[in-house]
Amino acid sequence: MKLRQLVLATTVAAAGLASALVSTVATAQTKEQFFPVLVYRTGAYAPNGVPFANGYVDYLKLVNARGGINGVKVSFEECETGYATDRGVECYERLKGKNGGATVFQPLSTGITFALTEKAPGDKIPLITAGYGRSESADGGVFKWNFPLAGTYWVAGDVIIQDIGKKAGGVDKLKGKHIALVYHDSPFGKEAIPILQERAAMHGFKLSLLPVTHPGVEQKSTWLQIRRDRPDYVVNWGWGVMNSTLLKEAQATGYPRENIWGVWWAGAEPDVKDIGMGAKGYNAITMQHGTEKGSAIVKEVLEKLHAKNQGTGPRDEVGEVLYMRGLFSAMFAVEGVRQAQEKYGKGKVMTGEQARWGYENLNLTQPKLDALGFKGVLRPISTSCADHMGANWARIHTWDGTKWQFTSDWMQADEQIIKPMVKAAADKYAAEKKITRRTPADCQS
Amino acid sequence: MSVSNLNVFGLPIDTPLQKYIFCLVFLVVFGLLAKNLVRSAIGREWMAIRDMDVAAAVIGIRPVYAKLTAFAVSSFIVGVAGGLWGFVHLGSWEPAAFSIDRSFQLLFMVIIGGMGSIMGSFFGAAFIVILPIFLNQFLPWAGGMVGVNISTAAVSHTEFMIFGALIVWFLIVEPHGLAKLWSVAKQKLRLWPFPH
Repeated sequence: MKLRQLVLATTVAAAGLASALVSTVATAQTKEQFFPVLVYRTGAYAPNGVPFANGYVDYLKLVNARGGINGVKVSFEECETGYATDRGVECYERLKGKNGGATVFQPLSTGITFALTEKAPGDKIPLITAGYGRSESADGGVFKWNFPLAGTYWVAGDVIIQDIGKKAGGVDKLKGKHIALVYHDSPFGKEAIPILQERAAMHGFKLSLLPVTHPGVEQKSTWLQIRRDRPDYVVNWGWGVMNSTLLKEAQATGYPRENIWGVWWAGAEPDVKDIGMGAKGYNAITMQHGTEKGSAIVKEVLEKLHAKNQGTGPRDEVGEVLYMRGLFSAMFAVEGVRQAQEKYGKGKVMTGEQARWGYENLNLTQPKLDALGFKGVLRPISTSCADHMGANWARIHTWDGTKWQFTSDWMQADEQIIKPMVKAAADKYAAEKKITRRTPADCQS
Repeated sequence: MSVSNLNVFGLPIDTPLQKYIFCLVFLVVFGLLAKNLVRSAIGREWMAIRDMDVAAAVIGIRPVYAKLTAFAVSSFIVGVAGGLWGFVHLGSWEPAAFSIDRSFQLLFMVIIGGMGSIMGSFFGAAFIVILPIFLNQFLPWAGGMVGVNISTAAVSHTEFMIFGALIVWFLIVEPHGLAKLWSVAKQKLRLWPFPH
């Protein structure tokens, strides 16, 4: 009996030792820049989450096909969040230390962003929230680790009102009018409220707030109210199936789609394709880009990945609105690392802290963007310690029944309105969480 | 809603270890509380109502009181659990975090773990929490062995299917759930190979 126990004990110990050795050897060999990809391919938001995820993953594959970031290859892993905050937090905890440490997280959910904003500074991993997240996180003095690149919700709301004003014949014509905000009842939807209330106070229009609970398919009562109140304009702040439901309800109640403006997460093909002509005239703000099937980057993706059967997702999705957004969100992640390599050593793997410096000192000039393949898609974006947003330009596109067409020039959000709001909200957050604003010395590091 | 800088009488709760110990303290206290309640007079009243509420009413147990206390005690325990989950684990939440899917998860924890036993709730909770993580690691690996690429969406869907199938199976075959399977296993193992 004793001999058998001894033999058993030694084999178990040997196995344990062998596995420990194997694992250390394995980690020593991975010298790749690891990007965790938080996606939702299931659930009510999947129709919009899938093209974004495909774009994101395709860009990372393209970076490897182009030779990596100054030679450093990119590794990535997908994690399904289902747009749920708790699963997003689990994905974060699981992937933050993997493969040498996560470089950056892009949650694609304002709810998950709120949760990770508390955790990421402690783990020293930056968060890119391009076009979503907390609007006040554009203030880098308080939000050191958040980067709402290329636009926040307050920029979107502001430009939407500007365009509504333009189509009405001038913002002064909005006095006395009634604008209804139909919003997703979540942190994402609520982000619209402060900027629209500010503009309502400025121009004298009445703003009514109509929340729609997740997942957004129950809008009958909302549209009954709209039919009763007859607002002049409706602003749609939805995501996922809420958008197509909204347009179907608008069609059913006979509300003119020309008077509906959607946020940039409510202006993509999955929202309108099934409705087709029924959604004709629906306007949406774009985060600089629209459907860009003719752009250089799309041609490169089709050539280098899809032609060799290495693409993610269907070929005809490449170049659609949300696919492009996924593509350039990944581009931001990679270019920030490239910028960090300028300071911390070219050809080396960057840590989260070093990447954060890269995102804070991002200087994507038009020549650089054109070289990457984004000519005509994006305008220059340059961040700084105080400004983590980098650009505040947008355009409006309208669905003509078969495709999205740009119906406005480049418009810029009014910083006179937004800057004080951002500063006030950031100060409030800092006071609540007992964070001190960053010193100029800290900005230099 | 979000929270940060959690602390208990000055002791910070930041690292995973601190969070674990904090929750473990609550768990031990509530576990003992629940076990004692079940063994006490009120626990016997609950068991009587569960088995046959008419007969229990006949022998003098007040059904309304027993059902109300069962509801109140379980709501209290789950409320504390929800608070711990929101504050300690998530750090930030919105109303959608407490959606009906969450309620279903709690229900499945009890059904799979075993209705009518304290041990069952532990098994059920462990199962519901660990199964998605296990599937996430195991399915892509298993798919890799066979040469099939399993996407994250497929893993998520498989999770739903497995839960659904298990609920039905447990309700039909073994209503007392994993806890019963565990106690049966213990009994059989005591015959061989671990007699004592």
